[in-house]
Amino acid sequence: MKVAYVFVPHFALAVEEREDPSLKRKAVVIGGLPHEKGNVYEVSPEASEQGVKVGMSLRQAEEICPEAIFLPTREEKYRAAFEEMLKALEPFSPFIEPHGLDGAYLEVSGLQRLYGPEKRLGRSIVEAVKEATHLPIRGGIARNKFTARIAALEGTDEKVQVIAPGKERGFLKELPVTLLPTSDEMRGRLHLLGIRTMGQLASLPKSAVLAQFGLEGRWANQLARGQDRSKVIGRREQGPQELGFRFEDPVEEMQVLQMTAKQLSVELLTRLHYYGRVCGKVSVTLEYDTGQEEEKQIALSEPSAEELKIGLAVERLVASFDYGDRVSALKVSLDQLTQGKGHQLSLFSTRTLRQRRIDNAVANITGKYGSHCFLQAQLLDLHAALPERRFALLRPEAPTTRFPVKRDHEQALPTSTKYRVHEWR
Amino acid sequence: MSRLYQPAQSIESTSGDRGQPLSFQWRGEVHRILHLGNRWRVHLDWWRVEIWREYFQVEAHTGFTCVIYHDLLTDEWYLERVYD
Repeated sequence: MKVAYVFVPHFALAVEEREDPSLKRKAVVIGGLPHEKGNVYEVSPEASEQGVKVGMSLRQAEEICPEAIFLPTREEKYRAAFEEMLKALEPFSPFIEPHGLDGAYLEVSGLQRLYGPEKRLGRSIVEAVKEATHLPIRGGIARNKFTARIAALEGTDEKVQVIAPGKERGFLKELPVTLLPTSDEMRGRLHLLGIRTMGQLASLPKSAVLAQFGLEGRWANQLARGQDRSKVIGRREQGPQELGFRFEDPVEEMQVLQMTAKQLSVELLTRLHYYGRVCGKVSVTLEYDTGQEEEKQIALSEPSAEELKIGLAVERLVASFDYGDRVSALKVSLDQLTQGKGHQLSLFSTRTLRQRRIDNAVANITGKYGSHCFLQAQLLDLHAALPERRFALLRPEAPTTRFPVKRDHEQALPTSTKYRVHEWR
Repeated sequence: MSRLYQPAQSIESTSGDRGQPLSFQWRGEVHRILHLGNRWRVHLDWWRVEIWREYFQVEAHTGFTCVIYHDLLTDEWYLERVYD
């Protein structure tokens, strides 16, 4: 994988300077007028040198740097400029992941034929963005996201720094650990332990880092070694994932709707699994044959990409509609997507409480009245012309009895004889 | 909602000159057909075990709404689906 990271240093300031070049090389504070209540949003290097920091109150900023030019925050303007930048990057890769409101990751694997070596590709990116936005861009290209970003941060304006494969650890070695995306607490502890550079952190055994800092430490250790497995998630993949299905003939059987919705959710989950993402909200939209649409949604108690959980949520949603009319189309969407975290798989059954209750009830009824009471439905072909070919009704497997029943010959034989029978075999 | 009978239930039916059902008897009750809804044919698997059916969505005078079909190969009638 090859990743490029491009960003515009002091983005908001660059946008303001683009409109008013007289602001260049002056102490500028963006956030509002000094008498206004509010915080500093962006600060120029000249004002920063005097001690003005992002996040401090405007009044404080004025006290520290009274000669600074104070400008109001125009977030919409910055957002529009950022969109311009992303649009300029689109020809280079189908996978562009915006990062904050000043940078973006691009998946640039296999572009040698089009743009030549990475250095030339970098130049092309810089030129394209500059031509479209007139903003000073900076970039980095490396084998993974983290190294590419650091290469860009450490690079110079209007240039793209390329880190050759295998040289990541060497490049990061002398850089401060403060560049790692860690919590303040871990940063403080690293400082206390005298670990200042990424090289120092990378040289520590993984087990020691894990013991001292937990999972966050292990992750930071990997990054310091130049290892980052996270993928570039394109803008399309970042939004809600949705899939729909239009029925040839309007449907009213809830089972068919539930099965269709479940199939759609399984397809969506395959996408989510690929990007290692989880979703926090599931919604189902029905379009009735009258043309009306109805949507219902469930917020999950915790983000998940488990087929079982999402399947249950979808099933419940489909069952919750009133069904005044027949359904001509159905859409399932998974929203509030976030990066998933690995979790320990259970050694034991992962069946939900509801399913276990159903299993028990089925076992009890089957034990009392016989297994012919239940049939298991299995979807065969949703579009089959004959309804009986759309699904099959199967006899469920015989439930396992709670108390082992002795076979006839075992009951007939005394224990000693039984053992003898085994010995003879 | 509806209930699908699998296998379909055998019924006795009388039909008109265009092949449309006029009435049918199921579980000892005679249902006179008031309204014919959809009507479609399914012809499948002629190379294997041929299936050739004519389906009717019907509403009886009793308010009973169902899907019945005429097996055109055996000239028998079946009830396949009953609507609530």
